Amino acid sequence: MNRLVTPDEVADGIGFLLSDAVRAITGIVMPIDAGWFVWEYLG
Amino acid sequence: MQHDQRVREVADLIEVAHGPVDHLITSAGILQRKLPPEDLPMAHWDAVTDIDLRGTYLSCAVFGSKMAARGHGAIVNIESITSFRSSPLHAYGPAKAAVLLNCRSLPR
Repeated sequence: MNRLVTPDEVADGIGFLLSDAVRAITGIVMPIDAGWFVWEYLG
Repeated sequence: MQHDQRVREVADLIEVAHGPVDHLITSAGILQRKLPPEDLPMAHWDAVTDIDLRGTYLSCAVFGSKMAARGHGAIVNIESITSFRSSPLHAYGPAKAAVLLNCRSLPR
């Protein structure tokens, strides 16, 4: 993606983590980083 | 958020004014000066860890215990790229890494 994540995008991810859609998920780490981690892994 | 009793008082005040807290988002993070270990004052190290790690844990413990007692609620901790990899931030990085492990350990 070659860019930084925006504050709004972080907020959207937080909204997702607080939503009912993820009621069976807890204790996870979810990067909201516009692909910074993928970028590292794939070189 | 450094003071145990104050955080508990704030949690109680919010509950009285607005009802139970179902969602907590933590984002505490004072940055640190980028100094080599020989120049990094331990007082600065303590200040950073006190807010970034201890303060975050305390908030999760106080609000999260109330959530657990009610049987529902959710906490989101905002981390940092320094939670995952080496950096020249010798207080901030370890504090953020520890918060990440708290995030994995505290849910029940």
